[in-house]
Parts: sequence; structure tokens; C-alpha cells
Amino acid sequence: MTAVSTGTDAVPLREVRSSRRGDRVFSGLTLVCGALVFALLGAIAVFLIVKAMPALQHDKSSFWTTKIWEPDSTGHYGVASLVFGTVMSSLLALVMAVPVALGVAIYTVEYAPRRLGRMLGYLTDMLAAVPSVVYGLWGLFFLLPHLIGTQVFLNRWLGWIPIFAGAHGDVNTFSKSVFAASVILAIMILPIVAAISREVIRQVDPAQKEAALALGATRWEMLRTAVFPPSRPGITSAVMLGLGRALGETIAVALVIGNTFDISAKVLTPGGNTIAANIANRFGEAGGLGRSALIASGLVLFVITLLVNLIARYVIYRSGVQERSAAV
Amino acid sequence: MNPSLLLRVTGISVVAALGLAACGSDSNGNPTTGGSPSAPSSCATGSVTGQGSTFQANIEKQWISDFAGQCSGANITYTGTGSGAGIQQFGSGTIDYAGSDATMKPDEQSAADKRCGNTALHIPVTAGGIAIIYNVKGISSLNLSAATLAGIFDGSVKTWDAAEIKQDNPGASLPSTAIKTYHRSDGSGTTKVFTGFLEADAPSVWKLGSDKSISWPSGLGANGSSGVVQGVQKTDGGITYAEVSYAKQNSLPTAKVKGAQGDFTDISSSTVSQSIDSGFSVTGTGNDVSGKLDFTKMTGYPISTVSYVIVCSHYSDAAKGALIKAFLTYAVAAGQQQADALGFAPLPASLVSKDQTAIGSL
Amino acid sequence: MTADASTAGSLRARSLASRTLPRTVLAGAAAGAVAVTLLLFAVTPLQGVADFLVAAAVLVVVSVTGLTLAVEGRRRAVDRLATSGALLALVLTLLPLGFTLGYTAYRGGKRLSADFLTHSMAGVGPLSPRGGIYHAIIGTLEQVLLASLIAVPVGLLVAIYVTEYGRNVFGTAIRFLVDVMTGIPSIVAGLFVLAFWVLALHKGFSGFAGSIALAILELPIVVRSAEEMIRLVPASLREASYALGVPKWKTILRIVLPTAATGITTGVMLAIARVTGETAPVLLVVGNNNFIHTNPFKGPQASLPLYVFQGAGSSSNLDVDRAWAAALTLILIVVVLYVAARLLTRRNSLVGR
Repeated sequence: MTAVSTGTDAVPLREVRSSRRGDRVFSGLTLVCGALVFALLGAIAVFLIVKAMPALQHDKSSFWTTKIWEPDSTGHYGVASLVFGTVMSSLLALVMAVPVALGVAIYTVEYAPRRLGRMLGYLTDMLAAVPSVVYGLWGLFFLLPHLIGTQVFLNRWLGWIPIFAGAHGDVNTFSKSVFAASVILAIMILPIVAAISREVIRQVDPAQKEAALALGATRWEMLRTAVFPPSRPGITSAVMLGLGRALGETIAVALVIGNTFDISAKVLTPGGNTIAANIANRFGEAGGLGRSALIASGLVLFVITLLVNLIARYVIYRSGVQERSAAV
Repeated sequence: MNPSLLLRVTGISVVAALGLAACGSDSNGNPTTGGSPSAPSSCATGSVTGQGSTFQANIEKQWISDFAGQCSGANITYTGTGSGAGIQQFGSGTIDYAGSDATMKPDEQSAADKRCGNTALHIPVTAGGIAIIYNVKGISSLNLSAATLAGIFDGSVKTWDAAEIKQDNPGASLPSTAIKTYHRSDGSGTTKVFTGFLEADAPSVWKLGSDKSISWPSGLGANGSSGVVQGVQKTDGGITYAEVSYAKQNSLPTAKVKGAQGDFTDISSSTVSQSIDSGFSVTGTGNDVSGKLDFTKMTGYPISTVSYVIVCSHYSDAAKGALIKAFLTYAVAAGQQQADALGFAPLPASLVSKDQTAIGSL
Repeated sequence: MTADASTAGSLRARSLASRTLPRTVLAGAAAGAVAVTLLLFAVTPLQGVADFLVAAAVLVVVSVTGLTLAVEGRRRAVDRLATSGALLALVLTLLPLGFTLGYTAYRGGKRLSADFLTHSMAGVGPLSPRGGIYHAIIGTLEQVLLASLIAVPVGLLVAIYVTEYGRNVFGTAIRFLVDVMTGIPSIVAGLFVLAFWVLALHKGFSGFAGSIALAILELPIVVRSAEEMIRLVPASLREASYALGVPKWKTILRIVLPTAATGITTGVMLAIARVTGETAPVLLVVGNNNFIHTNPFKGPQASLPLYVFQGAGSSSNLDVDRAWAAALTLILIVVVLYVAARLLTRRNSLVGR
């Protein structure tokens, strides 16, 4: 690159042209890649919708209310039990994970000294690094046997709550159940909710916090009045992102859930199924209609996850909070 | 970022990758079971994949181990995914041969024929019994009749001290543990055979039909023979149906079963062979050696079956065809010596000769 | 509180400058609670380590909070309770991490060996304790490498477009679509490649099919983190470059990207760590192969996550032990990538510590 000289010498035309050409080529290249994203997503959407059509149109029984899944034999199939299981396990996971995630986020930002806080942040994020199949393996061989005691406890003392009801004989056994899947899911979404909450809480205006403390508030009161209110949108968004992740989780759930097609609120008893786990279990033996039905259920899952993620991103966008991603 | 650091890291990664690429090996030593396998009469090289029945998975693995040990360059991989998946993948053309305990239905047959461009053949490669595997604290030996089994698996018999079980086991002390049945949740030839047995030998009790996949009114589902046995392993009161080698692998007890004929029979190579001789008849035409099981005629262990390999009559990829032919030639002849040790039964001589004719035509 | 009329008195009653508990008393109360629990477990039929820990934790919290309530007042007690809650959350977060990594190391370590890492499952019979994961490691490495070769350049270019050239509707639309793509469940990506590439185009199982699915999952992660890093490059750097007459494309390539390089590398490493562990897409489209298969474009291949998944479903202890060792290997690969990425972040001048 030659220096631009002042005075009467202009930049050689050859050079201006070449830089303009370079700009055109490069910007064209990036535009093509951007368009590629469009094309790719469009292709995926169109292809999946087209492939799902046969299953959706086949009207032997309603796709939305049928519980059983027999597309290739009797032709009756539906996502009722799958959607129920997906939503139930994800919501239970949220109930278990969100308080703990918020607690650890608060501890990391407000209670821990700086270096410890950073270390804790890394450790919490490390939970997200463990592959889902390892969680499934661990869940199956370590967690499930150890969960029996908790299941019995919940069933005995909280059995009056419908979800913890169930016969003792069904509960005090090694059971692949919605409860087991929820616990694993809770562990898996914990780091996401914690990481985003951490960022959100970190960005609260220190002046507000110090003002509360100066007025004589205890730490808890400071949190309650100065930290939580402005963080609410960010935390809501974090929770929704966690929900989105839980809805789509496949392998860990497939290994620890009961693989039955019923709609039962008794999460401690063996059984349960989710859309993603069903696809993973059935794709191998699915014929033409079976595959189409699986794709249709996959689309349902995609739409649900998409809605949840969009709401989350919108909430963050509206609140103006800067979001640090990378790990999540 | 520091360019020299980048250079150093890249350099180390490249060296590591090269080292990694050079140091792996496909040789895993000599096969470890049964008698010393005799060398296959012909070898071929190439790469072939099979999928399907978990019933025959253990003996397939043994054959592959023996065959690959003697014929280097023969890369055969068999994965147990269930007969239903095997047939489906074969029809889609993603695998080269399928393993199945059930013969193909007409639509499955036409898909397979279309994939091959010629007729797809069933070739029985082994025979075995479906063991009733259980894990109940307090029961070390168990007799079960067909009617009781039907009651257990359709959910009407709920505890281990129920009247039906007491009737089959007079004098035994039975715990009151709840029965937890495990059935196959994937499309399974083993399910088809087992439910076929229940339908034939307990028609008044069993009303749920017989297929690779049925609507089980109760019980827990798991994928693959491994899955159901794993479930029973971990559950006190568990019971399931699977090929007997899975029980042996895990030292789980199996029940003596009483069918239409005979008495409560234990599962063994000889009782299975007896049943195949009396209850299996070839119904396929030409080189298709598929057959029918008549459970009411079985005089040995009443839940016995053959397991097939599904292949094309002719493969467009000559190398694959040659490898499959060489492998199957080994499997139905010398490979049958491995059957006993693993819990299978050798095929009757008449079937072997029919198989050899069919394989010879590949 | 006492209804004291005088202002000073009422202030004193409500102020936090009243009696406070010394830390030693708190520690003593906690120790006492643990002792009581021990006694309880020794005397009554209550059993079990887990039960003990839970009971002890409850009693400690109750005693500390109760003591604070009695001595220091309600506000301090609530604050103490909140602190206990935060500590509890911390423990509940670290426990699963510890148990997962620890148990995997324990069960996997028994089987992990140089032999295991350098042999495939070729010819391993059903009763044989031999065999290894070499073929799976090669398979995963190839699949992830190919996926990154597709996703990283394209992702970078998309990120550059969105930040540098795309200040228009199209750019916003692309950002939105990338967000949509992050939400694709991995199984749906796998289904797409299965239905499209493997079946409709009759390409069959292959490592490359897996790479396509992994690239679909990796692309949005790369785009988002690259985009974020590029945005962090100060505008003054860019403007100085333009002022010197450097064309835009050269500015991006020579100035912006190198400045953001550390952050982008971190993002790429984290994306790679994520997709290495993805099982669902691989399960659907790569098939299985017990032999070392180095051609990712034709023929089924093994892969590490699939190996673990298959072992998890097996009733044979031999398979299960191998699966644990494979899981340990997988965790080690991912954790190494992850820790390296974090260490790299510290050298990143763009990101405030």
C-alpha cells in the first residue's frame, strides 16, 4: 500500500480500481455466505415440511390427540403423549434447576471474592461442557439407582400431590421415569441459566447496590430491592433459554426415560416419553409413513423450541441487556 | 494473537494427529470361545455392514470375530438394532444384509426386492431358544406354563405369588413381589416369535396378537435384547423374554417352560434342536429358505426359532457379494460349531444343505 | 419490636448496630447441629450417608437461622437464611459436576489404557474383553474436522457480513435466522440429513453425512461468537485504517480479524467442543463400523458418542465397561478443548476480565 501523498499527486487510478474490485469481491463473498444461511434454513424447513405432510394428512386418527405410536403397523399415531412428556419433563427440570441456578449466580457475583467467583463461573460452565451422552450413561448407572430413595421419600411424604402419587411397588424400584429425566435435564440446563443470570446480575448498576447498602439494608435486602427488579427480564430470558434447551434434549433423556406412550401425571413411576427421545428410538425401524410421522413430530418440537427461544431473545432485546454468549 | 504461538500450537497438533493416525490397529487377538474354529474354506476382502436382530447378535459377533481372524481384510460389522430396523434399513439400501427372526411381510419383501433388483432371500443361519429371564429375590428355579406366561405378559398376573404361578410350581415358596415385565419397545423378531408362541399355545388367554411390535397393555419397554435384559438385571421382580445367551452373559436364571406338548422343559442346545426338528418347516420357494414355526408341534423347548440373514440373490457390487457369500458359507457350516458354547443350537443338517444351495447361488 | 416513643430508642431497636453474633458462636451452633444429627442417626433407625447429609444441612440452617433470629433480629436472620440458600445452591451445583466427572473417571479409568486407545472393535467376540475405541476416535475426529471446515469459514464470513456490510434489512434477517438455527434440536438436524442426504439422494451412511448435520449445529454458534468478537473491535481501529486509505476488505482481513482472532478462536474451540459430544445426528446418519474406516465420504463410520450410546444400552458388562472408558475419553477431549479456550480468553485483549 503506497502512502497517499498530499498535494497534486492523486492516488493512482489502478490502485483505487483494484481496491474497489477487492471490496466488491469480498463483500460479494460474505453476501453469498449470508444468503447461504437463508438458503440452508429455507431448504431444511421446506424439506421437512414436505416430508412431514404425508403423516399429517393421513387421517386414520388425529395427530394431535392420539397417544400411541404405530405408523407402520396399524396407522394410528399421534404426539399427545410425546408432547405431554416433553413439556412435563422440561417444566419439572426448570422447577428444580432455576432456584439453584439463581442461587449459584448470586453467590458467584455477590458473595464470592473475585477470584473465587471467576473460578466458580468456570466450574459452572463446565457442567455445560459434559456431552449429553455421558450424562445419559451416568444417569442410567449412577443416578437412577440412587434416586430410588428420593422417589420413595417423595412418594411417602408428598404423595398427596398428584405428580408424586403412585403405588409403593411402582416407586421403590429402579425406574426409568419422567422424574429421572427431569433430574438429568435439570443438571444439564443449570449451567445455561446460571451463566446468563450471572451476566445479568453482574451488569446491575453498582451505584444502586451501594445506595441500598448505604441506607442500612442487609445483603439480602439489597439483592431484593436493587438487584432483582432490574434483572428480571434477563433472568426470565435465561429461564426460557434453559427451557428451550431442555425441550430439545435427546440422548440423555432417551437413556433414562421409560419409553411408554401414556399420559400420566405420576412422574415417579416408570414410563414417559419425549418427542426427541421417540425419534432417536424409532428412526431405525421406521418405514415411509413412520419416518414421515417422526419428521412431523420433529417439526412440532422445532416450532415449540423456536417460539421459546424467540421469546427469550425478544425479552433480552427489549431490556437492553448486553448478552455474553460463547459458552452457551 | 502471537503468531509464533499459533505456529507452535499448529505444529504440535499436526504432529500429534500424524502420530495418532499411524498407531491404531484392527487386530484384536484370537477369538476366545468355543472350540478352535476351523479355517474358512474361502476368504474375501472388502467392507460389509449388517444390522438387525439382537437375537442372533452374539453369534454373529463370534462368527465375524472368527472369520476376520482367519481372513484378513474382511471387514464385516453387524449391529444389533432389532429385526424391524434391520429389515427397514435393508429395504432402504443403507446396509448390505439384515438379520431377522421374522420373515418379511409382503410390503417389506417388495421393498427389499426393489432395493436388490432381484429377489431378496431369507437364509436361516442359527437356531435358538427364547429364554424367559427373571430376577426375583427368593426364586432360584421357576416353572411357567404358556397360559401363565400369557397372563404375566398381558398384565393379568400381577405378583409372583399369584395362583397361576403357584399352580405351576407346587410346593415352592414364592415372594409377594410385584411382577415387572419388560418387553421390547422396538420392532423385534423375538417379540414376534414369543407372541406367536403365546398365541399358539395359550389361545384362550393371549388376545394381543403376534407381530414384531404389539400394543402392550402394561410393563416396561426397552430397546434391544440387551435393553430388556439390562432392565431385568436392575429390577427385583423383573421378567423378560430374550435369546438365552443374554441370560448367560449376566448369570441370570431362566425358567422352564411348558408348551402344548411335553412338560416343563429347560432351555438347552439339545432341547432347542429337538423343537426345530419337530416344529420348523421350510415354506420358501426357490433359494428362499424361509419357513414357518408351529409351536404346537414342538417337542423340546417350546419357544424355539431360527434366525435368518436377509440378502440379495445377487449383489451389483461384486466385491460385497463375494464377501457375504464367503462369510455365510463359513457361518452355516464351520460356524455352527460355535453355537453350543454361546447358547444357540446348530442348524439341522437338512437346513444346512438347503442354505448351502442358496448361498452357492449368490 | 418495642414501641419506644423516643426516636433514638426506636432507631436503636431497629438498627443493625445492635448485638451481633460472633462468628465462633455461629460455627459452634453449626457444629452442634451436626453432632445432634450424628446422635440421631446413631440412635434411631435412620440410615444412609445421603440422608445424613440432608438432615445435617437442614439442622445447621435451622439452628443458625434460629440463633440469629433470637439474638440479632428478624432482618439479620432472613439475611442469614439467604446466605445459607446461596451456599446450598453452590453445593447443589458442584455436587453433580463432581459426581459425574468423578464417577466417570472411576469407572472409565479401570478400562482405559494405551491398548484401549489404539485398537478398534474389529473381530471382538461377544465374550472377549479386548477391543478399543481407536476407530471411534478417528471417526469422530474426521467428522468434527470436516464439519468445522465447512462451518468455520462460512460462519466467519456470515459474521463479517452481518457486522460489516449488513446494516440493512437483509443483515438483520440473517441475524434473526442464525438465532433460529441455534434453536434447531440436534435430532431434527439429524432427521433432515437422514431424509435428504442419506435417503433421498441415496448417499447412504457416511461420516460426511454426520459432518453435514454437525456443521448445521456448529454454524450458528460460530457466527454468534465471531459476531460478538468482531463487534468488540474498537471503531477507532477501523477508522484509523480507512483514514490511511486501506480498502475495507483489507481492513477486515488484516486489522479487524487479527484483533478479534483470540476471541474467535475461543468461540470456535467451544463450538467444536459442543459438537464433538453430539450423539443424536451421528446416531441417525453415520451408521456403525467396528473397523477402522478412514474414508469419511463413503461407508459407515464409528464415532465416539455413538460408541458410548450403544454401550450404555448393552446388558453385557464388557460393553458397559468399554462405554465408560469411551465416555471418559470423550469428556477428556471436551474438557481439554474447553479449558484451553478459557485460558485463551485470558489473553484476549478485547474482553474485559
